Amino acid sequence: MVPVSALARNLLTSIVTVLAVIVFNFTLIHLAPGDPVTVMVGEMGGGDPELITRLQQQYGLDRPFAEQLFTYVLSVLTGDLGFSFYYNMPVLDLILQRLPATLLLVVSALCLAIVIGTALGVVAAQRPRGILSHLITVISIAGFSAPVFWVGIVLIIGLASALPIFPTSGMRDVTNIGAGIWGDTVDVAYHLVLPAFTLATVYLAQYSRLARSSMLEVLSADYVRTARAKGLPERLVVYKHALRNAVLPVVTIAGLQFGQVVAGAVLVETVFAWPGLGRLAYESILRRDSPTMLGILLFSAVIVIVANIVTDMVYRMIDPRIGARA
Amino acid sequence: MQPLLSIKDLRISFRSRTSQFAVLEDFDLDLQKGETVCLVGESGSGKTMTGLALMGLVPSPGFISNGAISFEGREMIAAGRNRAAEIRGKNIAMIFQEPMTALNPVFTIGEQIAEMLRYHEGLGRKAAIERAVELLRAVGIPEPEQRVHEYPHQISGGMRQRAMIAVALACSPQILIADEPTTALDVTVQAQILDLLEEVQERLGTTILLITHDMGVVADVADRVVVMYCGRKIEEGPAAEVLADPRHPYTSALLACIPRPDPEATTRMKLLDIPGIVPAASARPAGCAYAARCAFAFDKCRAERPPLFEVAEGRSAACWLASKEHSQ
Repeated sequence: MVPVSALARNLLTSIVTVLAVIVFNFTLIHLAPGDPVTVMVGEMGGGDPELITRLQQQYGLDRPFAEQLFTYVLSVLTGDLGFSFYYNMPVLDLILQRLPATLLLVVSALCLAIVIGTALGVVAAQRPRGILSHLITVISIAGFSAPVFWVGIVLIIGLASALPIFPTSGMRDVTNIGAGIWGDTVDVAYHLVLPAFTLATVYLAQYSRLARSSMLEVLSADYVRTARAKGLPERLVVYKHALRNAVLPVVTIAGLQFGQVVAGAVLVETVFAWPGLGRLAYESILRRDSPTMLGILLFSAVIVIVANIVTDMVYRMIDPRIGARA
Repeated sequence: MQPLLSIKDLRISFRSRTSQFAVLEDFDLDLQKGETVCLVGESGSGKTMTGLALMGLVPSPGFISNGAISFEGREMIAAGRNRAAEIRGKNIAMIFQEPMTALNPVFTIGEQIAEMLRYHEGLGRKAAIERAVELLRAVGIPEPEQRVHEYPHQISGGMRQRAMIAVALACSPQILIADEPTTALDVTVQAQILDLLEEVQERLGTTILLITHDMGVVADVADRVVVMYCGRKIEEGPAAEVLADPRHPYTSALLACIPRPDPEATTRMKLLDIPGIVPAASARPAGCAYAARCAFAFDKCRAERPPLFEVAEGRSAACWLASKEHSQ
């Protein structure tokens, strides 16, 4: 169903994009004030200029910018993302350790937002002037307007503190070690509920509004009238003929939004002490840990690019008009 | 003989927050088995609304505010009640003006035919697709085995209208409502589609209600013609008689608008039109709605609306000129 040539074209543009991202990020961080050596020396309790110069030489920070950039790009291409000054371990290992937690959080939140948002939008579109439709609009806008960290804190106070239903933070319970794969999965899922829901609230609104307007438009389309004229029950008219067309813009936005959701994860991971990339990013920025920062930015870019390729493929599968004759 | 379908005193109204007005009024129509009836009129005359009412698909905020529709003697639609869903698609099918948009772009042609058979006749997926291939063959689509798996965007406009007809014919309906089925197509394709409809009628004995604004189409296919203006029937009769001897000035004007090439003419032919515009449904005059555009209008026309006068066996016209007193 998915043409190979389209996939190949996508991959080629992606490689170019990733290269551009690497160069851009490196330049940006180089231009930013602050120097990892200053932070290191500061943490050591101060040092003389001689030590600073020696450290700068040791890390190659005294070399010309072009040379530093070239060295970095070359090592990234060989799979070496450098060494974290702060965590004292290779950046690649550090990121791979944190990546699954972030992916789990982001994908769950996005799925929640898409499924609940689309469902709400579709319900609202059935009776666009009904009370339910207005209620959904109000809830959506409230969710969209509330700052994500605030939603997180309110949920912690409400559902973890006042009513201790869910854990306040972390991804696993320390007392749960050795519970086996099943026990571990349940534990992680239990810890995931609040952070995923918090992150989902922001994006839910956009999906419900988008699904509502898209559904309203589709419901007045000629082919929906045809479906009714065929004598099909309303259930098939709405959930087969209309919905399949109405989700097309939702899929597009889902792909575009993946990057924003990864960014939003930084706040949620901080509030819920979720051991993911977002928190790592936050900490590495505070420490001026540029290799880690660069590594995370590179991974975020790759995640977004992969998400867009997946979106493109999904879109091709849902809409036969795209690329079918390419 | 009991008509297959009978519309009595139908009125369709639209309601807005502040007002309510009718887009179709005092409409009666009987359809006999196997005949072709053309509904003719300008845009906004209520033709399409009549077709949609038969399907029980009058779009909101429109609704049937008066009258009744019965199919095979069973009452289907009356004000406030709607049992059209029982016969929709199965006994009465409808095809639309725009074959480009009337088919769902994300499902194959075959699926769009097969779902009718699966839902209405309980056929299995495989059997339904096999029937779909047969239907596509019957409406003159070449290589139906292949087309059945294609999507609407992969075939031409004419082929799409054929596919749409195949969808409509899937359950062998007794009545086929065709709402301007050829308007969006090339002239050469128009004739093919009309031929196809006639062929279907001969083969299956289907009653066809053809909605059109094209008097040429009427001359081609109609047994009977109903001329509509501003939501009312203004003339009805056998097509040949109405075309040869129209009794309503509006019908005459419509016929005069058909361009006829004149080989004798030395100057370029002037295209005729009907002066004036159709009054809006929300602001219809008290008298005859056509009076303002009519060359023969007199005071009575503006003051009082003419009822339908029977002018001959099976013929009627809503014009004071057609009334008995006037001819005396």
